Amino acid sequence: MRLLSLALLFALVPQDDLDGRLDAFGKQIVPGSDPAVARFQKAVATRPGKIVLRDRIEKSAETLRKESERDAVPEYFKARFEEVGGALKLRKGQEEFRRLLIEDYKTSKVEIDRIRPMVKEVADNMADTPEINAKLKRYLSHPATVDALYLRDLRQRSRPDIYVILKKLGELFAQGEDGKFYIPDARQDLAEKFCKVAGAMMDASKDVSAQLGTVCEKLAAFDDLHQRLKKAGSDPLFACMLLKKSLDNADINDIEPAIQKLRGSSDELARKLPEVFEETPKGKVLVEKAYDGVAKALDSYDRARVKVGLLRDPGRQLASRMRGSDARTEMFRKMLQSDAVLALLDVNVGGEEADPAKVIAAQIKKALSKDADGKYRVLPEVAEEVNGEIKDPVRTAEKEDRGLKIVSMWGEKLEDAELREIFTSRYGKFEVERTMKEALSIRSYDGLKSWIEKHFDKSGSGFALKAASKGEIETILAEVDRLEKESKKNDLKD
Amino acid sequence: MISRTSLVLALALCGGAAEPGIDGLLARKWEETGVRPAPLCDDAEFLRRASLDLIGRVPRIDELKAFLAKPDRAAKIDELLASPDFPRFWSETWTAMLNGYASAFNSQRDGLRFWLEKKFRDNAPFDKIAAELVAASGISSVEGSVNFILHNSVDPAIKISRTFLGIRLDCARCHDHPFDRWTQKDYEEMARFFVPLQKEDLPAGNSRVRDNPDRAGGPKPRFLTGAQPVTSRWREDLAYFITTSKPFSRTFANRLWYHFMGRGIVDPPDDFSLKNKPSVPALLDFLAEEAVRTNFDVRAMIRKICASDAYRRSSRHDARDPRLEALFAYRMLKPMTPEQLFDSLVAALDAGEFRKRRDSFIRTFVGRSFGEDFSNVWRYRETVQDVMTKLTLDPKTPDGSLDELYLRLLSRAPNARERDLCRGRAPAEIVFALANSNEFFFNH
Repeated sequence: MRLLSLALLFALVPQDDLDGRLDAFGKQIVPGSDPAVARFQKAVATRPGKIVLRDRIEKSAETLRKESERDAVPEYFKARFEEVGGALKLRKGQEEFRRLLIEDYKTSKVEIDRIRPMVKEVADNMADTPEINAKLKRYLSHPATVDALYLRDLRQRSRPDIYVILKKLGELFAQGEDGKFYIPDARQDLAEKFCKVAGAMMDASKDVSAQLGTVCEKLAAFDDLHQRLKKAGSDPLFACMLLKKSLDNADINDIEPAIQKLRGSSDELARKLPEVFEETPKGKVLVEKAYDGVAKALDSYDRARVKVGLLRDPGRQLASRMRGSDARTEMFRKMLQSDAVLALLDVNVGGEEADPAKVIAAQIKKALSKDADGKYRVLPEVAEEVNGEIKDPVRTAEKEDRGLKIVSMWGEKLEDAELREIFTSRYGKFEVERTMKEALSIRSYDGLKSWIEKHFDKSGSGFALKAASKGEIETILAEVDRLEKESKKNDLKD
Repeated sequence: MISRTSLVLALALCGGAAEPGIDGLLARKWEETGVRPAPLCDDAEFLRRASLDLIGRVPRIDELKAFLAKPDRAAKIDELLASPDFPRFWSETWTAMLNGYASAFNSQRDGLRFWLEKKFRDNAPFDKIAAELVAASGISSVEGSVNFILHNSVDPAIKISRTFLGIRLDCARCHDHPFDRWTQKDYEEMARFFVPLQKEDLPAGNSRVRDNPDRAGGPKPRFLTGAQPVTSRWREDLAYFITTSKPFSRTFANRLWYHFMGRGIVDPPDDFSLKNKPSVPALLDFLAEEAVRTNFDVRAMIRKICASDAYRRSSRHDARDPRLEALFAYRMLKPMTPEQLFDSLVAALDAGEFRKRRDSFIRTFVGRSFGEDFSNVWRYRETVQDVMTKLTLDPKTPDGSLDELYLRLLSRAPNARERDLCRGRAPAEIVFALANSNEFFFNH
């Protein structure tokens, strides 16, 4: 029975109820004949005792956190590869990981190779004075810079992952240690508001597209505009683009007016539909005055299709990483796979800004002047901004190189030549870093368990202090006494 | 001739051994200062007042009738405290006090409100609530208390001192306080408790708050009482010092008193200073001791205050005088908060279907933030008056008798003059007039 309760101390008491776990631990301490342990047992039940112990627990957790950070790279490789005869071989079940990684690496390489000469040309021709120019030159000349620019920023625009969606919706979710996302209790109200707005948009765009689709089926293939409209008419995404304006400036904390406006727009569209077309012997055609509006709407629709096309995959991935099957979670899964909702998120992907070469060209134009001597110089009005962006180029480069060396040491041991190439490149280092960062951000560390294991022996009768830890307990008791003494200073100075 | 106050005092002190409670201490003060208090309010006004203070709305007509039939005040207070509306309304009031109406620095206001609602529902001791707020750590979407620290992360020492100690350190940020004891050094030493505070934006959104022990170097902070931390988790030690300090129990007691009476014994309640002394020191000491004795049990303290005659003083007094207000000789008028006003309209008009307009109403009431883009100044913005008109002129406005309409909105029957004035008026007109009257707008 006693053993069972010891097991329960770690297993059943919620991890966040630290005070409860401390109380449970205190009750299981076997004081023996040592008066210090008996005092410690009493102290655990007091508030100052808990404060001092929580400090120890947090320090233990901090040690675990640092160990976890230190072990993150080996863990990354051990989870995906196994050592066979001194080489690392892909584990069974990791084939899809390999396929996706190689595919992404190849695409990234093509894009990075497009921007590398652009950056090199600027770096080679940067002026040396004043200092900001020299600093930018050092930054742009470093071999890690192009990869970092692409992998940290530009890639997200052309090939977004779930984090671009989480930038918009992340505050609604918490992430468990299993990597799954869920809606915590505290966010249920806000999540419901999102569901209401998104649900209203999904319903409205479905209704409008049904009506529009029926009308557009009978459109005459009069010109390019009519042909585009005929194709777009039955697509809820096109309807969404027509309705989206009604949600402009909508406040998620005050959604009812926006939903009413959306419904009003939907009704108005349905009402005005007959006025937009006229009958001809070859079918329906747009009335003259509707041309401009329809052309603009179709242009927005084309841009939205590109964006939504890029977001569908991350949307599906995020939907599949949601935990739970309650109605609200299910609604979120549905929302994340709806074109209309993805379009509503207004994520900055696709379009002109998605082409890395165009973005780099635009940034060069915005920040630098090319003077008569053929040299690039940082424009004075952006000098401070550029300085802030590049910080300390030498230190940044050294850090990048250190990280690359560590990952490469593992990468060189890979049996698979394609994967070896990846994990000895800066791309591989970035991939490991990104995965580690996510894993570390959701990991929790049981400092109490670690601290107890260090100082107590577990037996059938409870927790007995290890002989070597007597000093630790005495230090804790002294701290408890000091804390109590300090708290006696409980009124303001005169 | 024995004066009324002497009689009250004699009654309050009779028995000798027992300490005078709220009413005895006030009676003693009135006797000393020659103050004549207002009479006690009637049962209907008591119910309106208690309902607004505890559950954030006026009583519905059925609740009013039931109470008037059996006016057991203590039982009613218990009933209101047990209502789910109590933790909801108190969490809204405290959220507004802690974080205002906007969200800043990635804080999630509703997360904090949700957390507070649970604490009030579970009747968590207030010292525990305060300690958890001061030492909050974790992820913003999971640990609601973290959103208090996030929202006030620019200078948490200032907000925490005001909220939990009633002390304004604002001046001491830049120089020694000109009128109080606080020096710039006091502020700096207090602010150091937050040096290890680390905010981290998580890849999947949200923020994590924790104390990084590596940052707890350099000179140690010092609490305003002189206490210094012992562990490396300075905020945890600070939370302990704050909640075991006398200023904390005084401020807690004073804030509760302020909530119910509309005026603090120290007023404003976040300004205890050498120049701003308590108006009835013995009463403040008594309430602070009660707070400690009850282990900061919010409901127990509320029962104590609401059971007092002091809480039942009428707001009508022939002499309106700040001196009398400071001695609680009559009840202060309290304007309703936006939440109270909306919920009261819904309760009075039986208009549950309006609930979905609540957020909109509150935001209209509070107004737009100063940070808004005002380039479009002539754009029509709905006013509180507009929203109220919509609510009160809705076709579903109750079509009751004049007495019923008065009971619904003002918790009382009309007097003869009012009957005269209302003769021949349509119910919608009467509802509109009553809902826009000062008597409705104020908790009195």
